[in-house]
Amino acid sequence: MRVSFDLDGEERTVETAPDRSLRELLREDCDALSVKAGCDGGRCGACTVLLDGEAVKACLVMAAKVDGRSVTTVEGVADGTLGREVQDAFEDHSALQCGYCTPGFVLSALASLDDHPDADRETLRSALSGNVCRCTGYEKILDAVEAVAERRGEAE
Amino acid sequence: MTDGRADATGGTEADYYRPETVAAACRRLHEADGRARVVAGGQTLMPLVRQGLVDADAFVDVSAIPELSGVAVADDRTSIGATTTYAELARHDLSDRAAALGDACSVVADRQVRALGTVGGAVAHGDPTFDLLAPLCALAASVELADPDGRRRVPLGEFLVGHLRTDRRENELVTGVTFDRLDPERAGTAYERHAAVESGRATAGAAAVVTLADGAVERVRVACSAVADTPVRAHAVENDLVGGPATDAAVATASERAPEDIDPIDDEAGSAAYKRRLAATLVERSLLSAVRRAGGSP
Ligand SMILES: Cc1cc2nc3c(=O)[nH]c(=O)nc-3n(C[C@H](O)[C@H](O)[C@H](O)COP(=O)(O)OP(=O)(O)OC[C@H]3O[C@@H](n4cnc5c(N)ncnc54)[C@H](O)[C@@H]3O)c2cc1C
Ligand code: FES
Ligand code: FES
Repeated sequence: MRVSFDLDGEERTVETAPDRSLRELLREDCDALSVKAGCDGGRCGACTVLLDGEAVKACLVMAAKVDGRSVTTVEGVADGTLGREVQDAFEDHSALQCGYCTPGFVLSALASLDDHPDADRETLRSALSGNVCRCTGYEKILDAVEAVAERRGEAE
Repeated sequence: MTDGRADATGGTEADYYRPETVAAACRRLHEADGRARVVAGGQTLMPLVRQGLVDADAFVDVSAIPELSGVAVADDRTSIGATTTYAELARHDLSDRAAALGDACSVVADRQVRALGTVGGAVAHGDPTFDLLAPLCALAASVELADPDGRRRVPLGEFLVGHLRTDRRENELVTGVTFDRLDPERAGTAYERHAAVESGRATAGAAAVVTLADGAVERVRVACSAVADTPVRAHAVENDLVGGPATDAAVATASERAPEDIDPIDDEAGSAAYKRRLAATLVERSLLSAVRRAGGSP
């Protein structure tokens, strides 16, 4: 079948079997290599993307479902946006080592900060519980995201 | 795109349909004669597809059927459409009024899975560890189904017949769940679970629905998850409590009887003996919380 969707602001049309995963569709057919392949079973969050603005695990989304919808990866995060602020905070707080988990964490953080701009650390910890990091021990990731939430909270 | 013929580019050659009405979905299922698989959020189905465990000629995606989505609260009954997601249900005020549902929706997996996983998917899959099933069981919910011949309603306890086994006929669609409204002045509900890791599957869970009258327990239903082939009612606990005072002590004594109705197994989550102990503790916690929410003393 043919699916057409918006990927990071660009219209894509791809021929695919319906029951491939969105992760395969993005990495293999659209060269979206920031979408990482981890467990392929919904447990690690490395493949997280935004589907119509909501964080989802691309390995758990049937490719056929993206027809007519919009997918955002970290490549689609623009300057001057909350997403860029989150990315910068990851850098400032040394919230990454190997970086494999980072795109997924940034997008999960972005989706949850969209809902709760001034979320506290516990709320953020739970919002990021679908993402696994094997390097950092999570605290620096939470430091980074919490710093964004604190700035947003003060700005409100 | 409503209908479409698939091409083989790495996946299977299955057809994919996204009908917009229940009737059209039922027709597709009927035509495929047992060779079609319903797709809702895909959060359970996709891992099965990835492991090569799904053998289907067609997928019928129910997510574009408006009738199946959302929560309807009427004077006497509440209905939740099959494609309502955990995230949608958690945001709805129903999750305050029937707080056990909110408790469950907020502990299922993680944010990403809650954004796509649906009530209908949880019910149709019938996994006794799923968090939403014990609250629905304690609310005495019924499952609503449709096929080309018509619609029917089955109590959840009868619908869930075994581990991953339900009473759903091959060509039937789960359209939603429904339950009687509780008296907001006198009833309280809660769900408590324990998992070895945050976001992990429940080792055990317990839901309680309590209605009080003058400090006494007028009606009570307790259901446990992950400790038998299906969610099970803790009848011994219920019988111990009903008609008596809604005190901490009475709840503690009654909760000790939780193991009488459950049948846990030894597995990587814990031994059967551990789960019996755990179930009693979770039953006690859920009852105390439900009584408190009902306006009682604990
Ligand atoms: C990483 C991970 C962690 C999880 N952790 C938890 C947890 O902690 N607690 C918990 O409760 N659950 C957990 N789950 C499971 C999750 O709750 C279920 O995946 C979800 O509820 C299934 O809903 P779905 O819409 O995604 O169903 P799908 O995956 O789309 O479908 C599931 C099954 O039901 C059938 N089906 C779906 N809808 C209908 C319908 N309307 N009519 C007939 N048949 C239908 C499908 O054919 C399929 O067989 C987890 C899942 C993952 C991937
Ligand atoms: S690769 Fe998708 S969650 Fe691990
Ligand atoms: S930085 Fe290496 S997995 Fe997170």
